[in-house]
Amino acid sequence: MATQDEYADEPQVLAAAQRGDKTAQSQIFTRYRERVARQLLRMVGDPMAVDDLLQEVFIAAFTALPRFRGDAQLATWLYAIATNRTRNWWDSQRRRRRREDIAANAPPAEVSTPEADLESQQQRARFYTALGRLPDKLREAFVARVLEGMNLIEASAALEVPISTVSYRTRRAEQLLCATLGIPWRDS
Amino acid sequence: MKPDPHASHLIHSQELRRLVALAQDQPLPALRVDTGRLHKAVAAARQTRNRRFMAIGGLALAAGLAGLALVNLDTSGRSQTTSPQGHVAQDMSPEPAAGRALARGVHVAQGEDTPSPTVLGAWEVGLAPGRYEVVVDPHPGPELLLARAAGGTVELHHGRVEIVVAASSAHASLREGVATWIAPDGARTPLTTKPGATAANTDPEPAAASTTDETVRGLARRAEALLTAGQRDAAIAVFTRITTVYADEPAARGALLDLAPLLKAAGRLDEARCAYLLYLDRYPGKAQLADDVRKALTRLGDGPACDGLRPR
Repeated sequence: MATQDEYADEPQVLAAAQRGDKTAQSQIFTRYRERVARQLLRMVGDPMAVDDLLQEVFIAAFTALPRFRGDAQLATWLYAIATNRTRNWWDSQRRRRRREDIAANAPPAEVSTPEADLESQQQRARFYTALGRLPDKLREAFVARVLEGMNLIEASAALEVPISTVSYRTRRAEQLLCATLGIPWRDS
Repeated sequence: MKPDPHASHLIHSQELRRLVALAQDQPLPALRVDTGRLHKAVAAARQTRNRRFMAIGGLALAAGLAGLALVNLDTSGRSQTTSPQGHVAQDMSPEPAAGRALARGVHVAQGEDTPSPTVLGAWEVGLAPGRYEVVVDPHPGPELLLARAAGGTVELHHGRVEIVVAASSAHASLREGVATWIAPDGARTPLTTKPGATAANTDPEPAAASTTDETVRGLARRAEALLTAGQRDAAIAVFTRITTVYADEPAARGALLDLAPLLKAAGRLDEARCAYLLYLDRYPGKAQLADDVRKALTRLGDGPACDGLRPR
């Protein structure tokens, strides 16, 4: 992870990138690539989808960069773009699943990799299947607060909703997730 | 951003915590996107967008020309509507002035021997001395009813307020909903329902947990809608209600954190300070945000002591 000093020149790099300087844009991409990729992975849970989504996020970001006014931090802005992109991804996933359910009702094929922990992989798949069934707004709040570990203020800025809304949605998402997974919401 | 270990405290179920940890620990795959590939993709996206703009522009131009042709056809038959410059005269006069009426969902009833309210606009009434009951039905928009009386104005988003107007003063009692009292000097005081009010006029607070939850949820949604619409003062009133009436609900914590910066942005610095202090007082165990709250308090500086949300 980069230190604050490494990002000290960010205003200059950002200004150059906004003017269309490709070197500056490359710098931004290099700095944020892994961070955004990790966020995307936590949002969708599918490693195969990360590359395409990562590219989509940065295409959207560089296209909109001249309009970025610096109201939010660049990282927060990128997170918001990633959230929007994954919303589209979940929509297409739902459509695809519906088609598959109708066509075959077959379980998804397991990827056989020697080093994979099959049990963990199955558990993660189970978790993300349930996460994908949540309404977009609840899922986004849950991912930001729980998976990303943002505090209420950060999540509120990233999702552009009031803190109380983030709080409510996170709790509701947790309840629905537990119900979908068939596990008790509160341990006795 | 590194996942915060404190985040696991948000989850009540051990099984769900375990699944969340698995999701957080998922290894990142090797990334294939590099800067060269990205720049090519950005350029391709720009080209596509430009082509789309040109196509839309062409369509718009065609539509404009077609419209102009129709106008010419029309004016050829009705030359009296054409201005000396040859332009078609458009009827830009305002809608006929209808009698002023209150917006749908707004009801003002006056007591016996009380003059009728003066309708100043769809969302504005003037109240002469007497007794009034003002009701605004719940609505999704940000509109606020202004009930103007001697000595102040009641701003009501939704709910029911009883207002007693005297020659130079007025007294407002909120029975339900969200309202603010605005003094002649502009000072704003959120109205709250008083459990001790006349039983016949006081609606009981929702008793069942699920009903309460729905109410808080509805208020949170309304506050969000008001903020989105730029109605800061109305949003403040809603957040104030969540933090006071539903203080024991989990959403009250977030509402308090929303309320403080909104009050600050509205220039109500003492109230903002009180909101932050109330947060620290109510949630001493929430260390994760306490530092941010203390910093915000420091930025606000010193001020009068507080009684809940109100400066003394």
